[in-house]
Amino acid sequence: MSHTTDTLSGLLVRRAARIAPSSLSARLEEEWLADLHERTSASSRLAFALGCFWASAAIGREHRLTVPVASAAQGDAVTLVQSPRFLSSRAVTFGLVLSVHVAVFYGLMLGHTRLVKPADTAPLQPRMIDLPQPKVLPPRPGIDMHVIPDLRPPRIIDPPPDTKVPANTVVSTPVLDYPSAPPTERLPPREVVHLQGGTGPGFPHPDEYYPDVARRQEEQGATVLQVCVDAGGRLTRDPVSTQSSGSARLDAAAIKLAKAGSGHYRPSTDDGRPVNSCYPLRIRFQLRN
Amino acid sequence: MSLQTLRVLEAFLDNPLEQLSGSDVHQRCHIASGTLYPILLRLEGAGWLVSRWELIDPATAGRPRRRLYRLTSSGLKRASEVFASFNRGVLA
Repeated sequence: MSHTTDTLSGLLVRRAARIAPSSLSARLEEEWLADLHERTSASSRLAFALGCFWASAAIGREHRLTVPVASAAQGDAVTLVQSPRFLSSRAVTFGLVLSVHVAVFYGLMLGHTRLVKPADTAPLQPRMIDLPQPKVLPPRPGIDMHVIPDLRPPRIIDPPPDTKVPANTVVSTPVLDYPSAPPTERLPPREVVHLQGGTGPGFPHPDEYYPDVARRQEEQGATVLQVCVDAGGRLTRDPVSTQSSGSARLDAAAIKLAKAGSGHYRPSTDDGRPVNSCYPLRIRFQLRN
Repeated sequence: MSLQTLRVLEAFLDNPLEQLSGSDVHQRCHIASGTLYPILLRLEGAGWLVSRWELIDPATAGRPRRRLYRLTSSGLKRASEVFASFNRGVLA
């Protein structure tokens, strides 16, 4: 591998030296080969050889632009200046690149035009296409084929309004074009067993809320309240007096008692299920001996 | 004057009487061959450097002869002036 690299490096150096101006070519080749021999590694030698190409191009460019420093009249042996060429390497490269671009562009355009098909100018002709008939599979043994009845409402066909019916014909009203669905039996509405609520365990006793003034004045009576109770036995809103006892003190005490009993009401039930409801509650205040 | 040219001159100014090949200059200033040889030829063309072939017999030495460069007297003077101007600029 190293031998191959060395051989390649030598070839590259010789090639690079030939690109240089002819007056310097032999000198540069020998000089570069000697310096190539000084390089220790194969990669370094290869990098050196590639760099010689760059050096040769730079030397050649500077050599062409150099003003003659030695005149022929003074008899200098070496003339370092070459006459500038009509077409420099840069111009040649530019021309090659440009021609390649033009060729590629022309090729693409030519290929594109061949790929495009001319438009079909023939008039369009309708053509009937036979649709395949749906395949009907025979019923598989062991599977019952149920006919699903048409449950759509019957369509009523009325005679046209401007149709004159002869006098001797009998027009039968509505005509059904297909048999209606069999009548379904209407079940009677099921009755819900509603049980009204009331006071439950822990509900306070009226004696606890009997006003002292009313006791001294021997006021008695019953107040009817409207209470609204949820399924948990709690008041959902403040109770309202719907029937007075005749004493404002007793009515106020009844409302106070009803509020204090929130949470201890027995809720109404529908089929045994507690529900929210409103119902009247009668509270009687009665003196005891 | 480019930085690479200054580095090449600096390699020669370390020992103005020493003759260096292109490979020697590369080892001292680590400039790639594509840049180094145009600089050497440019300085030689301007009269700052002078070159000659190494006086050895390649067959006896077992290697090709090298091209050796050294500073000319005018090159030494002008290179010294260049670096002196840089030093003045730095000190100023």
